[in-house]
Amino acid sequence: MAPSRAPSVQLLRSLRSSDVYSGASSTTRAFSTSCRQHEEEVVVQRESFYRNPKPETAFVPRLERRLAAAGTPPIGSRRRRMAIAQSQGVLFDQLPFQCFQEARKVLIEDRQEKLQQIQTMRDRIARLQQSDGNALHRGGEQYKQKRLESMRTELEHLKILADVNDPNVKRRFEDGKGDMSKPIYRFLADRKWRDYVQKILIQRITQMKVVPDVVPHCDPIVDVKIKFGRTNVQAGDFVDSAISEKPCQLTVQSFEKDPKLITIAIVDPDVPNLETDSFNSRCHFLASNVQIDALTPHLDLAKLAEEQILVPWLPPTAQKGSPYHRLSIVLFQQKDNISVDKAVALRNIQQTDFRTRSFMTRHMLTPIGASLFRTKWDDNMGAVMQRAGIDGAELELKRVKVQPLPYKRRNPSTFR
Amino acid sequence: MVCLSLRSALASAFGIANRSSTLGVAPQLQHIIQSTRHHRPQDAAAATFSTSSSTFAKKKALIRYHLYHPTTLTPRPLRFSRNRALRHWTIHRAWNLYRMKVKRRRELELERQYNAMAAANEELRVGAGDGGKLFRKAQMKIGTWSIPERGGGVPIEYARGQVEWVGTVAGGVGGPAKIWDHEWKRA
Repeated sequence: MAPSRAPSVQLLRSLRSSDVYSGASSTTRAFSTSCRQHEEEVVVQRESFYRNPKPETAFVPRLERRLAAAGTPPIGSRRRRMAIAQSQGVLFDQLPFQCFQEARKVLIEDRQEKLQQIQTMRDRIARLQQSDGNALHRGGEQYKQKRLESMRTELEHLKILADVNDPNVKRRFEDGKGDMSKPIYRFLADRKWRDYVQKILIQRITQMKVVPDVVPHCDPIVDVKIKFGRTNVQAGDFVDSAISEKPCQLTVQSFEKDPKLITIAIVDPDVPNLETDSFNSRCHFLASNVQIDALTPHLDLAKLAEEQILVPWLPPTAQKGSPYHRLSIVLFQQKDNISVDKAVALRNIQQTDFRTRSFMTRHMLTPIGASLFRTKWDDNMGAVMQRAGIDGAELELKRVKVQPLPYKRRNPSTFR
Repeated sequence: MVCLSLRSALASAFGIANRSSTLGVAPQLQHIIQSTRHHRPQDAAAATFSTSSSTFAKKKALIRYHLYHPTTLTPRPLRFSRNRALRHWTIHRAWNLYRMKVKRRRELELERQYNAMAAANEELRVGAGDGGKLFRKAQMKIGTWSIPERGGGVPIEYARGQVEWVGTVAGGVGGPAKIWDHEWKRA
């Protein structure tokens, strides 16, 4: 021991070392005993520090240079690396802070309680499932199913409560190492998404009027991210026509356990109709019976199966002079995961005059996610339209000049 | 061995004991070296224990900086390292959990007491067999507050909430505090 230490430290140390030999019988120091066991391993491990420097712990400039020459440059700041190298390597759970350990004890006890409650709830559900609905309540089978559903919701809630106070869970989630098959990480991811990303998404789809123009309402419960090859597209971005010529990749992150069957529609509601002097909506892509769940969020529209695709990808186009086109991506949940029959669906679809609302009602679809990107006339658009076989590339749209009424003219003949 | 002989020559030239061990070093220093080499786990645990004065002072300084900074409207940010923030969060969650549990326990106790009281009253009303006369008598509030002529009961002064200071408005602005209006008579 260094001579500069206070005598109280020595006393404490002797008390603690005597505590080790009392073993597991002492309840107050249960954590620190396991801590020492762990530390021994760690201390044995970090021996030849200078022989083989690690990128996480090297902080001497000479070793840093050696690492950089070896192709494994040091990670983080020198200050951080030094702190890691000189730390004791104690596990986070076993850090010897008294209040922290007391807090952990409270949390662990609460977790045990929650686990007990989960077990009780599971038993209750099993018992209710086996019982006869009609004998149970005058509501009969319907009442029983409703009750079971609410009990399952409560069970999921309890599962979240059991883990939500764990600092390790929080750390793992913040590091992006959360396992989406577990309810707690799904809950945390959902909360984080709703905190910011969903708000932005809702703002975009309402400001750019996807919501009344394409679908009547949308309460997004899945996260949709758009990607064209390596290009990430934020909701509402303008996308160059050369980029959007190939189908996009979607990242559809669901936060619920059960897999869902969804229908993906990409609709452009801004196609100018010169005859009626208004706009038509055109379907650029339509696919049904696509299964999504929390674990496999990536969805490449080009790689969907043939029987899933109702309308193959049509490159987004905008004529010169027309206002920008909103390519709105809408995800619909199919009711009760009943699959859509392709032949029946194709009978009623008109690609150039696509009615999203009637499609929704016909197949009992609910919008669960929406996003959009925009497109306008650019240098590549002519070539894209030619390749896609869409005519009108050489045509420029212009607004009809509205002649002001005679008494509102700026320079009428009576002035001259 | 050229290397060894060279080293011993240099050592003899500078007057250093030619040994690989630390025997030549001053005893105090030696102690330090030993303690760093044979890094005993108990020592390590004790060294990081939070009661060590220097870390404690640092902690206190940081928290004081956060709490009592002169610009009270915008308190200084409380910046923690990752581990410390997580420890802080853990303690915070445990404290919240504890308080929630205490609150819940109290609520349940109150509910239980209320239900017991209601059940007792109901039993008195229905089960006493006197047509509820005893219950009606029990519900009467006569005699709760004492009237000096009749005596007994709680002094009527306690019917109002007792406070440390009473406003002087009743006795007129600037006048003495008028706590009780002794002259008041029912009209």
